[in-house]
Order: sequence, then structure tokens, then C-alpha cells
Amino acid sequence: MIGTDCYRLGEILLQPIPLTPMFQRILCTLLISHGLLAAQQAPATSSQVQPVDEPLPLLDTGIPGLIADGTPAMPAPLPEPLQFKVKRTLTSRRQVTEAPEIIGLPAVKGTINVTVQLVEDPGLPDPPPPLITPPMEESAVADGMAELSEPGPDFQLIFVSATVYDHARTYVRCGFGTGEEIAGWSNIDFNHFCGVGTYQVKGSDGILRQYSLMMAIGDEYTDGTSDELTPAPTLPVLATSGPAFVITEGDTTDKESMDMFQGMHDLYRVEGARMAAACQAREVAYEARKTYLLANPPVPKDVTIQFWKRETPSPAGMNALTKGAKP
Amino acid sequence: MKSHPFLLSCMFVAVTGALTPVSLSEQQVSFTAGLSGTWNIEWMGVLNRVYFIQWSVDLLQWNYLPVIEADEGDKGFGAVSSSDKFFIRLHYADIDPEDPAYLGPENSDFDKDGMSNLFEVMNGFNPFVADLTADPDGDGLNNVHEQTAGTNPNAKDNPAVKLSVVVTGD
Repeated sequence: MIGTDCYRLGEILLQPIPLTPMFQRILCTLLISHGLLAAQQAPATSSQVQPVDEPLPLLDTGIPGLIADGTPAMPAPLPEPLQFKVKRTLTSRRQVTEAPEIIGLPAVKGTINVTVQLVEDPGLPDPPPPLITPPMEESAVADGMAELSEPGPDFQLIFVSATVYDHARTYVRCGFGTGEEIAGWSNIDFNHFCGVGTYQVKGSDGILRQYSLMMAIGDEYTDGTSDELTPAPTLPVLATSGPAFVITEGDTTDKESMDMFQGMHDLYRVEGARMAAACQAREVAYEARKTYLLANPPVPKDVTIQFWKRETPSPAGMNALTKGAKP
Repeated sequence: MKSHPFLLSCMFVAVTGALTPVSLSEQQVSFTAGLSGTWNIEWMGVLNRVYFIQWSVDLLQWNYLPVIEADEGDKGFGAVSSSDKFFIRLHYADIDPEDPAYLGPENSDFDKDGMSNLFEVMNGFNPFVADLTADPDGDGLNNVHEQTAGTNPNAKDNPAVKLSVVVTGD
């Protein structure tokens, strides 16, 4: 299962890099195997119009588990604080500037104390050694790797690039990472797919397929409210009742790709309300957090660094050095 | 997003002092996770090379840890930080053991400012920048005088000064 599935770039990057829409697109290009700029192009021709009108057997179609709704994750448990015997302490004060938690908020500035302590070796046990990689020459290993790399018939990882226009239309480009892609317009606001990692769809053939979603997404506004001047695309006419799409690029005879595209819309038909509600909840949580940070500007915290000379170098470290031995 | 302590840490090798071009294949430093949020720093020492460890919390200001290592052997340090951003890098200088100015890794004075390498790193100074006239504690004694007096250049702990006044005349 993929842990992080939606890359809303403007929210995950660290400052101070200004995130223009163009920069987001460059990053999208790095994240996925194709350019998002191409995805913004208006469709040249409409090769196939396929509104989803017929109800499909939706049994078992859905998103397992919760959809991310902006509720903060439980923090990872902190390790037990170590007790040190301090041999020497150096403290200095310094001005620091840290990136804000949310882009657009003021940078976190302040003066902190940095304390460096030379301590005695606490004699921690070494972590267990890394597992030994079996030699690839062994046929059993090679067979196992080949089996693992083969996508199963009922599970696929899909890569999606989505440009959402006015929260009403999305130009979607997706594929299985093999280079073959399919693209088209959808009447779904794909922002609602953020927070969805894995979903399953039972197709018209009765097969239940599970998909894991890796998505890069950006918003565009044709009324000029976006930072970047975006040529207004020619939006296709799509069904207004229910999820619908039109394929504009790619091989529409490829069943897997079409199933994938269809499956996203089938999913939305079942889970759309929950996905939209989660998206709205994320927006509310985002705004609430932003308001809180504006009202309670964080201050940088003091830093304490403890270090020690090891009695014996760690086996893991020396192993890493040996692997990168000099030629 | 709060990353795990040291998750953003990095390590790389810088070359200063008696500059000798160093190929990438010689950059033999490892940085591995230890237990309880600690990290281990290891490298294989090279003969006639003096090593310093630098730290930073912002990749802009670099300071020296109060340790010096030299020559061959497997070197290992452990570290832990309260910050989620902490950076370490190794800084070394190649030396000529036949050079009469070389008094060992700790007693030598690489920047020739009158303060030994060890005194500099023990007090948070840069052993590669002459800062003999600096007076970080503002007590009127510069760093060299503090070293000579055996006082802490970062604290106003000057020894008591005896003032003798001799009055002569009618």
C-alpha cells in the first residue's frame, strides 16, 4: 500500500522556494514520467465520448478505510530520552529563520540557544545488522523478483497527473508507469481524490481490481485568478449528472487503461460524497490551522546537540563504508 | 510535516587547509541510524590527515564540534539532537608531518592566529580562520590572551588583576 498518495505540491514543499504554478508543474514532471504542461493542452480531437450513464455493478467498489480529512495524525512516539554524562558544554546564541509550516505565512524568526555537549559514550547497543541481499544470480531469487515486478491482475499502481480547471473540469493523464498513457477530460474535481491512497473497483466483468494512486495535481482558474496566465482550454461538454469523461489521447482499445479510467469514475459515483466531504474537511482544517498560526506565531526552539566518540565504530556504518570501498 | 529527528541531516566532505584535490571515491563517510533516535558517523582515517566535525542547524552557519581526529583507523562518533533539522559534515586537512610547524593535530595552529587547533574547537572557534583578536565574551581579553591566561574566552572569568601603585616624590 502506498502511504502518501497525493502530492499537493504547494503544501508539502519547504520554503523559501516560491511555488509558482510553473514550478509546481516542473515538480509534477519530476514526480511522474510525463510533462504536466502537455496535460494542459486543450484536446485536439475528441476520439471517444463515454459518459458514464449506465449503472455498473458497484458492489465492493469503494475506498477501504478512512479518507484523509485534515485530522492531524498521531505523532510518532518519541524515543526514551537518553541519560548522558556531560564532559563539556558549549552554548551559543544565534539568529535563525525557519520556513513557515504553511506557505504564505511569515517565516519563523528568532534567536535561539544552541547547546553542544560532548558526552561520554552511552554505550548503546547497535541496531540489528541489515538483512543480507540474496545474490540475484540465484534462479529462485530472480524468479521471485520477476513475480513481484509483475503487476497482478487484481492490483495495479497508477500514476495520475491532474489539472483541475475552476474546480469543475479536470484534465487527467494517467498510466501504469510503463510509458503508455491515456488522457482525457473528466467532470470530476480531482481534488477530491487527494487523500485517497488505495481503492477498489468491481468492473463490469465482475473482477474486483485494487488500485493504488500516485497523483500530482494542480489547480487552474480560467478567470485569471491564478498566478500564471493560463490559456483557457476548450472545455468539452460532459454529462452533468454523475461522473463522466471523454478520452482525448491514448489507446482507447487498451482495456486495462480504459478500465482504470472508468474505474476512477465508478469509484466517484460510489464514494464521491465521502471524498468531497473529506476534501472540504481538509480545506477547513487547513484554514483553521492557518488562522491559528497567524494568531499564535511559532517561535524557533532552542537546540541541544549531544555527541560522543564511540568506543567502537558501529558495524552498520563500517559495513556501509566497506561496501563503498575505494576502487 | 515534522520530520523524524535527523531525517534531513546530511553529510559530505569538505577539503580545506593544505589543499589537495580529493576525488569523490575518497569520500568515505557513513551516516547510519542508531538506537533511540541517535545517529552514527563513521569514516576510515587516512594517514597524514586531520579531521574536524562541523555541525549546523540551517546549512548556513557551520561550527566545529570540540573534537579532533587524525590519521589512520576507523573513526566513529554518535550524535543526537533535539532539533528536527541538524546537519553534520566532515572537514579535513592534509598535513606534512615533516613540516616543523606541524605540532600534532591538537597543538598545531592551522590558521596561524596564535591559538592551537584544540583550543579553537574547544571554545567554538574556527581553526581555519584567524580570530585571535576576537573577544566573544566582551571581557576585554582577546582569545589569545584568554588562552595564555587559561581562562574561558566565552565567559567573563578573568583572573583577579593585582594593581600596584607606587607613589614617589616628596
